Amino acid sequence: MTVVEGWRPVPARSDAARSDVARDADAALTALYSEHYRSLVRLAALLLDDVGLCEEVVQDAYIKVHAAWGRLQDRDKALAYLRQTVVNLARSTLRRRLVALKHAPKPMPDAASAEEGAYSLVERAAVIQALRELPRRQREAVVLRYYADMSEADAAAVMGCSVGSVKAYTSRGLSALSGKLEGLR
Amino acid sequence: MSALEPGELTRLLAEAVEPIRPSPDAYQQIRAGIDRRRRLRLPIFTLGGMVMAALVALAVVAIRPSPNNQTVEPAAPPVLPSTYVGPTQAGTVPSSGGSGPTGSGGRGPGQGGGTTRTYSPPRTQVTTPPATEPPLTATPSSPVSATSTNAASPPLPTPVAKPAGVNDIDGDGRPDTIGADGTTLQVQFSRDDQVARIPLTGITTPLNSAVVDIDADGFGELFVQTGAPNGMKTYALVRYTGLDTLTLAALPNELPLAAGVRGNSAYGFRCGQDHTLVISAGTSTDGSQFSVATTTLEFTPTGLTVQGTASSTAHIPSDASPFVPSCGTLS
Repeated sequence: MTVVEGWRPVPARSDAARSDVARDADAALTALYSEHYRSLVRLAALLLDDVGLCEEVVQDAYIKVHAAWGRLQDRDKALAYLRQTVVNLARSTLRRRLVALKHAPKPMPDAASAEEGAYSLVERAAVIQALRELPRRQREAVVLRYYADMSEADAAAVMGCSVGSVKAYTSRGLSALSGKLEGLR
Repeated sequence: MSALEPGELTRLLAEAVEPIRPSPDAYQQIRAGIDRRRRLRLPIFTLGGMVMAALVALAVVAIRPSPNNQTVEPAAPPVLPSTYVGPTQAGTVPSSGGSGPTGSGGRGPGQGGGTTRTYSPPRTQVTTPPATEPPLTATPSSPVSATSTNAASPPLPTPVAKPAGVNDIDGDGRPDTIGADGTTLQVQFSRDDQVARIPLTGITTPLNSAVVDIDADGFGELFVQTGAPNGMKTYALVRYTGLDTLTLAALPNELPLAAGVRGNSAYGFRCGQDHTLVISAGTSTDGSQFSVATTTLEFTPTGLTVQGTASSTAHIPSDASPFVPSCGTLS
């Protein structure tokens, strides 16, 4: 289980205090949305193997953060908590998709879709294809370190592992991607 | 193969996701999700509380012990074999002061008394009431607490004659054997050769005793002298309260069973005409003129009860002294 520093349970509040917290949550949600929604959607797109689910994951993360706003001790770390929630939800989604794929019926033949749009461009990107061939931990480490530009410690906190593990995952992921993307350079 | 530079990887990743644009109604979807969650919160909490309450109730019902429909009756007290005869000499189970297997059978408990049950008769010396006063110098017999009725005590046998014959305690028409072993009174019943023992402090051999069927119920009462401190003879009254069972009786109102004059106080007792025991207690100021309080005691199955009291005066030694034992062979 990943833990964000500054997160702790808080005692029950009165109705007035609760309404104040709700107003703060609404304001913070709006600010977080305007500043980070796009980047978080792109982060989710790199973590998931289905770009179409990235917005759903990020929106769920925003809803969860809004619901838990009153229990957040250090609200300056709301973005970190939001990122960790996105990572956790992406993991859950991947896990569910693996289970669903095991029991899925025979897929229909591929057909061109008018909604593919920008997502199809992303799906066809070589780096995305190479990234999805990495193990989940390596993919998370590479994305958090080189796309989200997080430090090893922050990435370790979000992934719920040690800094050394992040280093190892990053190194292996980078090495694997080097081989897969050799032709692009 | 050249290693992929971090900066280059960052650029590739950014370029790959660059086409992604958030949907225009993303914010409204988030707000809708928040509102939906807020609306569902109360029903979910309510449902959760109800489920928890149901679980607690189920746990209580499951853990609560079922009502016991079985009636547990206390075990009956062990019944002592009353007619067991050992091969040669059996052990003695004495009890004094109410402890141990005391019992009173049909005649009930007299106040005070230890009952001794013995299952084998060691033939002890046979003692008859001596004609002369024995040299009893010990203190009077210690008061013995009342004997409680024991449901397991054997019932009284049927006497062959009323009143009982000479020295016939167990009512079989034949004399019983009375003796003493140290400070223990021993009575061997002629009915079944069983021996009952009662500890009586102060008795010595030869024993000064008398068997009188005062209440004419067919079972003799036994008087035993337990001491004569300073010329005041003290006695113990033993009753036959069940088969092979003797009980030391105590007099009501702490009346003494004694005979003699000591200073300005005097006591005596006699067996009355109407199956009673009469206790005389006298007080004097000069040692000769006594005010006598006479208490008549009646024998009941549960002990001795006061039937009546009277007062008189007696001048010693000109009048007949009421301060003597006058029951049977006691005088």
